[in-house]
Amino acid sequence: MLLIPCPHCGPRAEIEFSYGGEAHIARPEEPDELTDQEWSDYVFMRRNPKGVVLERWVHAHGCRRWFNAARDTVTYEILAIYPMGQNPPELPEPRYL
Amino acid sequence: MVEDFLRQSPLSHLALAASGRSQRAEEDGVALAERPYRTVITLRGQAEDAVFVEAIQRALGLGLPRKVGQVSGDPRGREILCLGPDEWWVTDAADDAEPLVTSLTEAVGDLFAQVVDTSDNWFALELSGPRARDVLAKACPLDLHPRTFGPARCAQSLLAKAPMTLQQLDDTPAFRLHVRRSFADYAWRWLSDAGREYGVSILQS
Amino acid sequence: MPQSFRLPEGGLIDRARSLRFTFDGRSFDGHPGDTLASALLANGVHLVARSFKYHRPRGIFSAGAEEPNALVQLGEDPRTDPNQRATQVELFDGLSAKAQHCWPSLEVDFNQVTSLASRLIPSGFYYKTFMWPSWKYFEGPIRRAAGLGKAPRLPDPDRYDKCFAHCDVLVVGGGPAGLAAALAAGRTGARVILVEQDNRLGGSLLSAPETQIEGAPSADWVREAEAELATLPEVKVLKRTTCFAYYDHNLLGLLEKVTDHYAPYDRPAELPRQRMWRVRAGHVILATGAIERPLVFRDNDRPGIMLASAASSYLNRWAVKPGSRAVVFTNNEGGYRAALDLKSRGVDLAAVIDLQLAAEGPLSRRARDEGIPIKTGYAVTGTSGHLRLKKVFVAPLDGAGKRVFGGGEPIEADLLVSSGGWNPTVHLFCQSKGTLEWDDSLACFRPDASMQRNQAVVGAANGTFGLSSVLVEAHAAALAAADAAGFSTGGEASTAPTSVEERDFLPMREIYLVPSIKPLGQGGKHFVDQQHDVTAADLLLAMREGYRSIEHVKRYTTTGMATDQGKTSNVAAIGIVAEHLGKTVPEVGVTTFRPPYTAVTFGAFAGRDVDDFLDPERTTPMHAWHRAHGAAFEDVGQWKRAWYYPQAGEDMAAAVNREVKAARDSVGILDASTLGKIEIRGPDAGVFLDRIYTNVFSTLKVGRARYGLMLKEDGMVFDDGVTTRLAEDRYLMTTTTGGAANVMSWLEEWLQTEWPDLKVYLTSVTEQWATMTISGPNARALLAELTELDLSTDSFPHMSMAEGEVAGVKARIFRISFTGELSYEINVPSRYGLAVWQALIRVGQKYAITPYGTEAMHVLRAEKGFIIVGQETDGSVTPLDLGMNWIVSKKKDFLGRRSLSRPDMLKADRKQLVGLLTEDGREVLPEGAQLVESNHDIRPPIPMVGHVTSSYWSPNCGQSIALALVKGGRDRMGERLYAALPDRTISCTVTEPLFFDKTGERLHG
Ligand SMILES: [Zn+2]
Repeated sequence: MLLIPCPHCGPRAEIEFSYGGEAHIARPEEPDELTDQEWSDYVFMRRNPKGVVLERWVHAHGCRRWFNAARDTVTYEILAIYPMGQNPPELPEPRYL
Repeated sequence: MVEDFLRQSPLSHLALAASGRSQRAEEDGVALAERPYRTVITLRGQAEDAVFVEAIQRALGLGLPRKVGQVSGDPRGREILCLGPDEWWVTDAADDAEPLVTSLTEAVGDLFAQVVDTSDNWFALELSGPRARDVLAKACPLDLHPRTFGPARCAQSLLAKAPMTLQQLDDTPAFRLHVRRSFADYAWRWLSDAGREYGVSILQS
Repeated sequence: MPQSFRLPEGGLIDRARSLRFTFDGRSFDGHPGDTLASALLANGVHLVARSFKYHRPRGIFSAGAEEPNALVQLGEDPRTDPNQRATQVELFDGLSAKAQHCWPSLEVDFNQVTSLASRLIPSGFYYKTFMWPSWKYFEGPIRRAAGLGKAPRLPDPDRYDKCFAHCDVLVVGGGPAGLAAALAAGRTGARVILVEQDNRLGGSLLSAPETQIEGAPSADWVREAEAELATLPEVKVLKRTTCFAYYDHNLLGLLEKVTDHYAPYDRPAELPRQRMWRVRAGHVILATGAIERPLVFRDNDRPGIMLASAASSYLNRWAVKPGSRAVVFTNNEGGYRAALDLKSRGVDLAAVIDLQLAAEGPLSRRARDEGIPIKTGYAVTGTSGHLRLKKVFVAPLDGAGKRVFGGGEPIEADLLVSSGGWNPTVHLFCQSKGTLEWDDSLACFRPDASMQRNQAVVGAANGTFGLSSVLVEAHAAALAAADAAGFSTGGEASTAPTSVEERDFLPMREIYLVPSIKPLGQGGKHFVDQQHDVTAADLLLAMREGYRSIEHVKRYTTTGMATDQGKTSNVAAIGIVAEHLGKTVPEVGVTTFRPPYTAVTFGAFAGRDVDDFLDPERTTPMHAWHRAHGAAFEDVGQWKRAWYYPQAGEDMAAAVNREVKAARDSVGILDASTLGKIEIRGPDAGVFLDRIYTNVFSTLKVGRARYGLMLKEDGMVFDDGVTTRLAEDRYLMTTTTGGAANVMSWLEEWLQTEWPDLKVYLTSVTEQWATMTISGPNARALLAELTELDLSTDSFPHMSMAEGEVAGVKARIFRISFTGELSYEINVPSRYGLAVWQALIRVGQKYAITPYGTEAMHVLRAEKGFIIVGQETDGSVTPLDLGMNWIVSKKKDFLGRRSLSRPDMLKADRKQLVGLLTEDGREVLPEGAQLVESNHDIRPPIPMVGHVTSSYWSPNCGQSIALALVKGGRDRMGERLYAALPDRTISCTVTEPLFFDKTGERLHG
């Protein structure tokens, strides 16, 4: 079970959070301009790589705020927490000891 | 004004008022008490808006805490709990929220803010005594050690399977736990059961 | 019965008290301090089990958690636990244990597989056998013969506890390393939890009374350490507690046995039986010690054969002679420790058989000086004795260690102990994804790299074996952890306890498969995994059949997959595979360790979350009234909702029919408090709702209400409800009961993540309000008696809201309808819910007011064809499928809109909402029934064209009605379909999904 550093409440148990999937998938501004393929890519397709993922979490049973996290799916280490709407910070090299 | 006798605590089926003691029995590790009618007003607003902050502070006579988890005011009287960067609770010992709702609503006026009476949305109970932390540790993943938590602090978390807003009232230690009204019976019975190994006194509300 | 193998003195037992226990119905005595295993051995009992596959007689093999054989069924139903390791069961008065899976008795087991039949159970047996259709013939007999123990049949009467805990430093293991670490960290003031699975601290020191720490017997040091730890307020010592799991971010699972060691009549009623701890530790120090590795030789599984270190433990800690005449079989210096212990405590030592070509260490020298016969360069080639070891056969080994010479010389012995080196107990470290390295000089896997931050492995668990080095290493690791946690480590705390270094197990001769006089598999078995009865021959067979990866060999043979997870067998298995493939052990690699380290009771995982705590039962402010009036309740999410109110002599159908009729004939009242409610405020509230709902809300007039539908981005219906404009910048949204929390999260998600520019605040007020709906032609007359509000349609029309007092309580009243009748939804603060409800009931008597439950509500709305999200929808249904195009705006964008024009959404054969009327109107279709087009051509596969989503008897229509999702349903009006039931079909006709008051005139009263 992860210990997730909520930007507002500090480190909290994973059971207080809900996962929000991959981060930085902006809703298209003009959905009608998109082909069916482009729209379904937006709705359904996610990358799910091994290694560092940028993802969204919400402190559902805490302050109810959304935030972004950079997490390594190999070590499960949370490398960074950053606000919605911001680009990810410079990340340290993955640590596979 | 509605007659008081018409109102009901969500624990009225347990008839606690009749059975409670005035204080914790020496041999019991914890005491439980219900606090059913306290005022709880949810306040949303922009902490970075000086006009909003000033208006609230003037209306309540209390500083608006800005850090999530901070509480200002008197835990037995009126206080403000900071629950989120733009969310607070104004709680008060008064069992009629209306005057306070009115003055807060007037204070925020046309500002981008929200004042909602949520007194009946929530149910408060108080858990106190030397083993109170041990009982809470069974239900809640928060670290309540005095080095990391204490009076004038609050936190939202879980009480077993019920969402909970927790605050520490004093160093007894005494805690006030808020759960949604419909979870009152679950929370009460859960804590009574969890406290069994230490002994539980039921206090009058 | 005398404890004839109990030594006259010594041991950590309380000889002043006797404890009576039974094993397999026979009574024995032991002492406080005994385990079941030590007490059995004290009574000369070695045969305690039959093996898993072959039902071979098995004895006590170890003295700890690694025990593969001595698994017993403890206690009687319902307080019974299978697979309890006798080596870890603390003896108590009245304990009763039974041997497992033997029939008719331990001594005579008819299931014992002859050597001929055993050829029929090769490795991969399950894969080769358990395939349909032959599985159905094998399953019964195999299930009866196999299996480890029996689960209780009755409900568990015990209580279990679960708790969270937090600390700066968690120390796992209370041996010398763990004690040194806990002391060093604890003295700094850091919050320390020390966990020890045993009922005593001391670990290996308990079995080695002659060791010295700080110039005194180690027992004194242990006692003083424990006393000091007890004085440190931030240190918690948990004995009888096993750390069974190491999860991410230093979360560890502990199982504390709180009352298991009490005699049943002494168990304190207020205490839980067991407690599960979930500890979040800043730093973790693993001081889990090491487990001795047995040697794998022919017929190495007889009762009377055990680990060398176990023999020392029984002699020293429990003052028990594990036999009368012993042979020690070793490949390293450590075996001589057991030889010396055995001899000094009066066991006749027949010989030490040493695989090494020469024994040159301090212990072997001492053994030689004491006149113990030593045969170096020798191997044990086999054993004999049916229910107990009788003879050991030994022979000289060739230089390569691959063959023995001669026919095997017999030695009479009833005890054979073996030592094949030590394996650091790396299970928890590996669970935390740490990697291992093979240490050539120690011939063991030891921790290499951590995957977790703030973790250290110390002592034997780290491959550090000398006592002095262990203490220094543990001390340093603890200081580093405390320092990193912000605690000063100066002063007294900075000195490590001192001891004499002993590294008595080195060097060793690595031979993983000890050769015998006959080829492998002939005339006897070399057991690798005794608990799963996996032999060396099985491993070789797997490799002959092409398996190379150790993970595959493990799964194919099931070696290391029993409840002990191969604690004594894994490295031997890897070694044998390596020897066979001509590889090194590290080239073969290790298998994966997973939680739990030792088995955990289901009850402990469940903790308090059983019975009515399994899931919270949420109740409304009027719940007590419903109960008092005999309501049956329905679970809707976590809510208990009144389902129907049967009166005397009524069954469910009669009660529901009466309630449904009443709401159409006069007035009914429903508790609707569970509907989700969200207060929305801000200058952009209207714009926000326009994006969330398929229809427009920004144009709604203040005081008016509108029904809305919400979609997910995939275009599927997600929730519905009525939203009312309370003021220019304020709305009140209602949601479905089950969807309330999800909708609130959904709205917040969009506001915070995608539209932070919108000025909108949300607050959930679901439980602020008690909600009661009065519905029916007399609803207005009833309400008029309790409020001053003008209820005329002109001033209070359908789909509007008014604020005023009802029964003297401030209320919000919504004129909205889910029944098609004139309806008012009255909201009052929850504390007054019951009072206002009772006032409505009291005044409503003159209109024969009838409380109705959710079932009647379902019938009423189905008569009108109103959908229920989650009943007519299942996450794959669009508004177009429901025929609700009227609510889908063409003028604006909203969530999910673009998906509605994807090609799949426009297909003509999508399932669409229709009504169904049965040919025989008295027949009610079962909900969920599949619909087919024919009732005579029934050869599979039969095309399914849809399914029934809702179906009821409608007293107002005088016949059954149903809603269904049918492929291309709207083009099938009047078509005949058949509901396919297991034994018959029901004929029905497709209709519009609207059955009652088709013009809607009743709504306007
Ligand atoms: Zn938070």
